[in-house]
Amino acid sequence: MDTLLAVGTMKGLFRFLSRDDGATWTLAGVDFKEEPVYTALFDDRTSTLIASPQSFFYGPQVARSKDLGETWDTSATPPAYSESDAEKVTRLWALAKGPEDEPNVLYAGVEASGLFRSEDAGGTWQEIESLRTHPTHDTWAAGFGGKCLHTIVIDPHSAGRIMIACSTGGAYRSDDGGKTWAPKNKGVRVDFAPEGQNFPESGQCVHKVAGSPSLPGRMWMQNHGGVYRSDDAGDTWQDVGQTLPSDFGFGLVTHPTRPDTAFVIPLAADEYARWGPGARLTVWHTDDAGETWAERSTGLPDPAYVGVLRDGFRGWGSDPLHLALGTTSGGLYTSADEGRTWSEVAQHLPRILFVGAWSIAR
Amino acid sequence: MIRLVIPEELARAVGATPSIRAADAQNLFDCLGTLENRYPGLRRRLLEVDGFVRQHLNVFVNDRLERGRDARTIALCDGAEVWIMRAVSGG
Repeated sequence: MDTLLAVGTMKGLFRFLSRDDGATWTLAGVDFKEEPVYTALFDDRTSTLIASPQSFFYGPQVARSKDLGETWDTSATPPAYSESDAEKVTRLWALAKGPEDEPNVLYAGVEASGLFRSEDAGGTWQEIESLRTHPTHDTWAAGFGGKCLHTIVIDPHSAGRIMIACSTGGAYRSDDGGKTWAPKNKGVRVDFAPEGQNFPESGQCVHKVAGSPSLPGRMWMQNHGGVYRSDDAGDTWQDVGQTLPSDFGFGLVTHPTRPDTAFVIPLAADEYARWGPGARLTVWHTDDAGETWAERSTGLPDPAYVGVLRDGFRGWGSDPLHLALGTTSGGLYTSADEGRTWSEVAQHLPRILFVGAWSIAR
Repeated sequence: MIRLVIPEELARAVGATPSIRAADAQNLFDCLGTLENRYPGLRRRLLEVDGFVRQHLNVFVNDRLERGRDARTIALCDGAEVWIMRAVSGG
C-alpha cells in the first residue's frame, strides 16, 4: 500500500506520497497554485481524488482526479444556493463519502453554512434544505474562519445517521438521511454568551467532531471552549478536557479500533494568538476516554509560534495509528507511532488549511 | 458580433480560446448565457448565481471599466469588445 498525504494550503494542494508506510515522503506534485484548498477527499469506492480549490477570481470549484492528482477534471458544477437566496456558497469546507452501498453519493459542507449531496460522484450537487430551514438557523453566525459547515460524520453504525457541525451554529444530527435535523449540543458550553446563557440549544462554536468506527454512539468534540465526549451519539456531551493545558483547539483525531483513544492539539485560549500554551506545539492523547491526558510531542518544534487549524490534523491506519499535522506557518509533520515521535516532512509550505491522508492500493 | 477576451487559464478550464466571438447581445448576462452552451462552466466562473460579476474580476467594455457589478446592467452594443480581467485585489 502507498500513502497519499494531500496538504491543502492557502496557495495550492501539495501531494506527498510514501511507499514505505510513512517512513519517507516524496513531493508528487503541487496543484491549484493560486488557490486556497480547504478540503480534499480520496474516495476509495471510485478511486477518485476530489479537491475544492477556492479561486479568488472564479469562486469555489470541485476538481476530480482519477490518477491521484496528476490530471484534474474541473468540469463539475459546484454547490450553489439559488439565485434568490440571501446567502451564497463562497467556499467548500468539507467533503465526505456517502454510505458504502451508495458509491456515487458524496456530501459537501459549505460556507455560508449548509450541506449538499451529490448522487453522481461530485458532478452536480443538491442542497439538503432541511438543515438551513431548521428553526434554529438564525442562531448560526460567522466565526473568525467564516460561517462554515466544516464537519460531516456519516455514522457507520446506524443507517441514515449523519452528524454535522457548523461554526458557529453547533452540532446537528439527522437519523433519517437528512430529512430532519435536531441540534445536538446538550452540555456544550458557550463562553462568548452572557452569564446564565452558556448552554443554549444551538449556536455553539464547534471546531471539530469525530465519531468512533469501533463503538456505536461514541463521539468526540473539540469545541471553541472544551473537549467533549458523547456515549449516546451526541444526545449529551461530557466535558473531558479540563486537565488539558488548554481546552481550546481545532484538530481532533480518534482511533479507528480503540474508542477510548483520542488526540487533540491544545491552543492558547486566553489570548488570540492561537498558538500552543507557552508557545509550544504539543499533541495530547487520552487512552481512557478523556479521564487523563498526556503530551506526545517529541520531534515537534519548540518553541513554535504556530497553530494547527481545524482540518490540519489527521490520522490513518490503525495499528499503529499514523498521524499528520500541518501548521499555520507551513510546517508538515508525521508520526508513525501514534504521536510518540514526530518527523518533519516539509517546512515553508504556505499556511496549511487541510491535511488528508489515505492508504492507496498500488 | 461581440468579441470577448478572457484570461488564458479560464479559457483552458472551459475549453475556449482567450478571444471568443459571440452573437450580439443586449448585456453581458445575456451574452454569457448564450456562450454557456458552447463553454459550460464559463458563466458560473465569471458571475455569482445572482448575476453579479465576481468580486475580483474587472470588466472593460470598449476600453471603459464597468463599475456596475450586475451583468444585466452592463450594456453591450453591436460589435462591442469586452475584456474580462483578473483584478489585483484577487491575490
